[in-house]
Amino acid sequence: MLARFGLTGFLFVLAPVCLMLALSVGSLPLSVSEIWATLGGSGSEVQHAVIFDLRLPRALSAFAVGGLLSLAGVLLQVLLRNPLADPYIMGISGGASVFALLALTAGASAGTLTGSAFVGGMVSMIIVFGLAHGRQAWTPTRLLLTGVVVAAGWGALISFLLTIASNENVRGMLFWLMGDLSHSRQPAPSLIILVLALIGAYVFARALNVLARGELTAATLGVNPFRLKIAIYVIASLVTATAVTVAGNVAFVGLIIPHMTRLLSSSDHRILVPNAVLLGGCFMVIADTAARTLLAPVQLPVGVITAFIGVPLFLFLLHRSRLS
Amino acid sequence: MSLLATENLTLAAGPTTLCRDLTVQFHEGENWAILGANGSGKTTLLHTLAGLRPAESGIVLLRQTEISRFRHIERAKQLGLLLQQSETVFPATVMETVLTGRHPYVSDYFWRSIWQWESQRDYQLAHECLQQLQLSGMSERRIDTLSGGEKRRVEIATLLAQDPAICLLDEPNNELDLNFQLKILSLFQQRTLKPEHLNIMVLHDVNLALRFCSHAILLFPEGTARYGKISELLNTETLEQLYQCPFHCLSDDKRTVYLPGN
Repeated sequence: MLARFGLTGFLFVLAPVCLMLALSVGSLPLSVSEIWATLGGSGSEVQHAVIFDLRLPRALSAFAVGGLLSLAGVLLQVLLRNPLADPYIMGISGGASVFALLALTAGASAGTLTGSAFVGGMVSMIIVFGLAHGRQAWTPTRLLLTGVVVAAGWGALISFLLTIASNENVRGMLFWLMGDLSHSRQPAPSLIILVLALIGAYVFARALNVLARGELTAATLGVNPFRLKIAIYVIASLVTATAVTVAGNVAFVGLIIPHMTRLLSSSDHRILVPNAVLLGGCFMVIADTAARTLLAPVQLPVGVITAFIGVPLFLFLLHRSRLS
Repeated sequence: MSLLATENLTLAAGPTTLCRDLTVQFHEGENWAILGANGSGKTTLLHTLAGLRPAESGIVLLRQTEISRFRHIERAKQLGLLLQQSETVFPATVMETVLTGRHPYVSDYFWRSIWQWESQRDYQLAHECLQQLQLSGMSERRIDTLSGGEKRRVEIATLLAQDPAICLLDEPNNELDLNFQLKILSLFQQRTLKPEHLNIMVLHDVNLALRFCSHAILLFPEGTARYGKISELLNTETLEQLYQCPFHCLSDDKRTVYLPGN
C-alpha cells in the first residue's frame, strides 16, 4: 500500500522545493533564510513586495495551471481512450482564445479578459457536447472528431482576429496564445478549483480503471458508463477552461505529464490522478521560473519552455521504457 | 423458477429483424449455446440478455425482475459477460486487469469507493483465477506484451474473479489453442454444478456445443429462432438450414460429430 504511493510521497517533498526555487530566483535573488524570514513577516519592504506581490502568486498560479492541465489530460485520455488526447483537443481552449482575443481587440480590462475567456471555454464545451451527442450513441470517435473540427473552426477565427488586429495588440495576443503567466496575480480561485476537481476525479478513480478497458466492459462490471462519461467531460472541461483562463495555451503539459506519470508509476488511476497533478504542478513551476529568468529581462512565454523541456524529457522516458 | 428469461423478445439491426417474439427461460445448471451464421444476431442477443442494450420490443427478466431496473453494480454481481474482443489502449498489468473483476464488490457504495482498495481476499481470489488459467507467473506482465491467447485467458480470469452466477460468453474459445478450448469450456461447465449457476455462450463450433451444452438457441438467416435441448434440436438437415452449407454426420456409440462440407 505504501509502496504504491512512493512517487506521490516524493512529489509531496518536491513541490515545496520547486516553490522555494521559484521564490528565490530572479532579478533580486533571495536566499532560503531570507525567504523564510519574509514569509514569517520580518523581511524588508522590497523583499515582501517581491515575494507576496510577484513571485508567490505567480508560482502558485503556475502550480495550479500545471495540475489542472495534467488532470484534464488524464481524464480526456480515458474518456476518448486515445493516448493523443490533450486538454486542447476538444476545442475548449480555442473557444476561450477567441473570446479572449475579442476582449483584447475591444481593449477590455484584465478582469473582463479572464471572464470572457472562461465564457468562451464553456460555450465551446456546450457546442461540442451538443453536436457529438446528437441522436446517435456517444462514441469516443464521434466526440473526438467533433472536438477536433470545432477546434479547427476556432483556429480559423483566431487567425482572422490576429490578421485584423492592430500592431500594438498583436504582441499581447501572441503571448496569450502561447501561454503566459506574467499577469497572474490571483492563484486562489484556480487552486480551489484544482482541489475540488481532484477530489471529484478521485471519487471516480476506480471506475476510470474499469472504463479504460472499454465502455461495454465497464458496463458489465457495474459502472454506469453514460453517467461517468458526462462527469468526466464536465470536470475536464471546467478544469481546462480554468487553466486556459489563467495562463492561455500552455503547450504539451496536458499531453506529456499523464504519460510521463504512467511511465514513472502506474496506470492505476487511484495513483495516476494525484501523481499527475503533483508532477504537472512541479513541472509548470520550474518551467515558469525558467521562462522569466533565462533571458531576463526578456520574459519568454511559458508555453515555449514547457515544450523545450517536455519534448526531450518525454522522448527519453519513452525510449528508456522500450528498452526495459 | 428461471434465473434469466426473455418474453416476446424482438431484436433488429437496422432494417433486418434478427429474431421475433422469442420467449425462453434459462434455469440453473443449464449450459446454453447460441448458434447461427455471421450476422444472425448472436452477439446482439447476448448483449440484450446482459442488459447492455434495449430490445426492439419485449423484455429480459433477471430473477423475475426486468433487467433495466437493476443498478449497474447489482447487475454486475449477478451477471457477467465475456466480450468477443477486448480493448487495450492504456495497458495495465495482468493483476490490475483481473482485479477490475472485483470492482462490483469493492465499490458497492459510492462513498466507499473513494478510499477502499482491494482487500487481501480480492488479491487471493485473483491469484486463484490466474492459476486456473495457468497464468500464475505473469501477474506483473503488461497486457500488451502477451500473446492473443494469453490475453484471452486474462479476460476469462477477470470474469472468474467477478464470479457472477450467470456467465454470458461471446465466443469464449476465440484465439485459444485446442487444449485451452476444452479446458475453459469444461471449467465453465463445472461452475453450473453449483446452485443457481448458468452459462449462455455464443459458439461457432457445433461439436463443442454438442459436447458442453445442454440447450441451444438457433438463429436462422430469415429471422426465425428455434430453441430447446441441444440433442433433440441438432441434426444434419437443421444445420444445413442454419449455416447454408452441406453437413456430414459421423457417429459411433459414444458421440455424434458433424463435419461441414461434402
